[in-house]
Amino acid sequence: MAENTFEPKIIAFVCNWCTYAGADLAGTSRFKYEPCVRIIKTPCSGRIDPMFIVHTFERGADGVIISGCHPNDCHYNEGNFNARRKFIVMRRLLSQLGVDIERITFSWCSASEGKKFADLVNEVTEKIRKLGPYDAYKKLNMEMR
Amino acid sequence: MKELIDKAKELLKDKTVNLIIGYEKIEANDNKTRPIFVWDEADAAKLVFDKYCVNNLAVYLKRKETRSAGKIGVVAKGCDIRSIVGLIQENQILRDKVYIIGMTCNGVVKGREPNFDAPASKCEYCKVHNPHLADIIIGEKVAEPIHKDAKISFKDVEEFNKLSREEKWKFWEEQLSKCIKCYACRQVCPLCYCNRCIVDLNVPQWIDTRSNGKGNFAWNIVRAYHLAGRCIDCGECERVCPAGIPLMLLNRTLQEEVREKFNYEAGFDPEVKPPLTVFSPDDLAEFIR
Amino acid sequence: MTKEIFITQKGIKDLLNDFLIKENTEVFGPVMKDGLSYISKLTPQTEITFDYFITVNSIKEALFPRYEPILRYNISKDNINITDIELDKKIIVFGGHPCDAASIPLMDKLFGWDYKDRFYLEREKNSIIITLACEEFDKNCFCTTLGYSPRGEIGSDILLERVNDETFRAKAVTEKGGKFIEENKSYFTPQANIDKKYPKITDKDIPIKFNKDNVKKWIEKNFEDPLWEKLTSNCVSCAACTFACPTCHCFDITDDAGMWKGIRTKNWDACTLPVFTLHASGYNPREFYWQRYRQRISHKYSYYVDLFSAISCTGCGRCSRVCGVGMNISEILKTISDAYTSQMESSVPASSK
Repeated sequence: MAENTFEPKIIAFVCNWCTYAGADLAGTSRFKYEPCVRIIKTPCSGRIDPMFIVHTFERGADGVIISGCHPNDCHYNEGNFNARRKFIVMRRLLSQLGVDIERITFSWCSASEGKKFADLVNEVTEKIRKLGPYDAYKKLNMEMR
Repeated sequence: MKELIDKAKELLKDKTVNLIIGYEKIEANDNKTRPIFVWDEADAAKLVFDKYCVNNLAVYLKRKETRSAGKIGVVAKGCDIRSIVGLIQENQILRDKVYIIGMTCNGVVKGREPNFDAPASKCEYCKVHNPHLADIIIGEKVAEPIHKDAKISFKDVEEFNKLSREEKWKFWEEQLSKCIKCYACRQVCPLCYCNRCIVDLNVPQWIDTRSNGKGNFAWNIVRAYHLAGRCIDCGECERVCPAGIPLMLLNRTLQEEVREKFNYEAGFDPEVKPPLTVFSPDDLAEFIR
Repeated sequence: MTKEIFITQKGIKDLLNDFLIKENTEVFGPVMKDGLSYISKLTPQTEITFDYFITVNSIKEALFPRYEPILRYNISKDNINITDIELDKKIIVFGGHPCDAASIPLMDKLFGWDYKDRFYLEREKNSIIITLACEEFDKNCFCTTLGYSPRGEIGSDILLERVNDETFRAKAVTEKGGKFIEENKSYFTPQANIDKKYPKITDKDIPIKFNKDNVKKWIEKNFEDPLWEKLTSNCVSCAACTFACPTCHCFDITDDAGMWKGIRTKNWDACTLPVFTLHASGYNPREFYWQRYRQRISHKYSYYVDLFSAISCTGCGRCSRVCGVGMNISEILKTISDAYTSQMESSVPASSK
């Protein structure tokens, strides 16, 4: 029964103007979504350094969500375009290292997409729940001496 | 060789350059070479160039002290010239501050134990046996390699791609456990020129400096990531690594990704902007929902 | 006449394996990894190798680990709880050469100096150093120049000298070593066939490369000499030489911490790295590569001698082997030693010649 009650730790890095507002809308609209996601707000998805993904896994998270404004809708015009290139590169690097990229979800979620945000969180939580805790990365931090 | 020595003497005599960085034989009865800083004509006689000249001398161009010596001549093979192009693209040196002595090259040796003398794998698919940017080209023109117009081969990356995720993780867990955080990879890379590397920042400590699993993964991830779209495949990092980690496998994975997704190969055209400094509205990232 | 005692390669493997599976022990031995040999911590699955000339790294990491916790803490509602680290593991260090073992008395001087570093000293107290006498050398070796020997005993508890393709003569150098052999004598054997081709090398085979005292004398007088910049031109300021060196001992202390708990760790550091002396103000007194290399040589060959009457170098040559840009320490030291001689010769007045 432990499998079903596993509460994954999922960290979501979201941009302030779109996704965070979308998350807010999900709340005010009373959409139900899983409580396992902890949101970290950044001004723009372009601020999200892909190394955050690595740091998050290092500190024991089981999953990461990164979300920002849709392309062409960035509040700062191009932040998400820069972010997109960085995410492409980091995702490839991590997959080549054997990091479980199924645990990393990228999305564009606008301020009016409250339902999308709620669905996103639910799907990701369910996926991570099935994948289980990310022990492999935690193992790297075990003291060897 | 004589052509190189004569040219070097001429450049120093005319004061076209104040310093020439080239290669010298370490010992009379041994093939190995190492960098030499030639300040006067007498030392120019020591300059050599052959398949044992493995070092990427462009690394010295990132040194403030060396740059302050005025115009510098660098003996460079094709791959080294790619790093000079990279430095020019990123405004680390001015094109007219460096006199590129381009050497035609038939390939160099691996340059590290075991199998020191085996041919370096990068030479198999090199497109720049004949230098693509130089102030003078010395040496006989090399017959262009088979895939001159074709893309640089990423056979090793493609082979590695075939492994399962668990196999890949196990491979890297083992390989990266050997890392001792000596930063030889960073120091010998011409494009790792930050005055304060991200790993040296400690308020907060972004990258764990311990040589445990977490610290080693973080360091090697961040270095490969920061070289994305910039790495020119000289392979020096892998050559100098005391622990024998296959670093080029990671760097070349990103070289392939950058070529596939952004249609860019680093180090050929000094006028083009590196791909991670620009974007295209049409970039495809289907994994973003 | 004390009876000789021998041990076979198999005996060594069995001894190390049996020790390894006991509680609270650590065993270090030479292991092949992708064609290169390293002194590594052994597990029951690791195969040790005898097929190497010299390991890339030294035995120093057995007593002075690359990273080690020095305390753990957690913060609770009422107070901060600090846990000290236990250092009671019994350690066997096998597979170093005399140049490795000789580094231990050198590091003892520093770690036992004004602050007694319990992390090093307690490990040393609990360890047995089993050294393999050298059977070959290369052009990077210069232990004899510094007064050491390829069959030297300094720093070892037990010295093993090969007598035939399978067997070593075991000599107890210290009381600790003698006791260890006595306690484990089932792994040893009283007899062996001596093959005349061993020992393959002696002190006479490794040439003296420079005058070590002249090196210090030149360093003392020539801090600002432009020769430093010339000699060190190739250096790219990594830490490969420092980490491979059996006597280099600089460390850095960092915290791996969260809100409520953390570990304070001691990690290897290197004076060759660019930010080693970076001040909080942004000023760096050793901003340039040659200043850092000058410091490295001066520390080993001059300042350490002033403090402890010993050169902090055993002539193993690892720094030169591992350097990716061709820096060769014995070559540099020879140049310095010669520079001193010519400085002395040129200062002798002509009339007295």
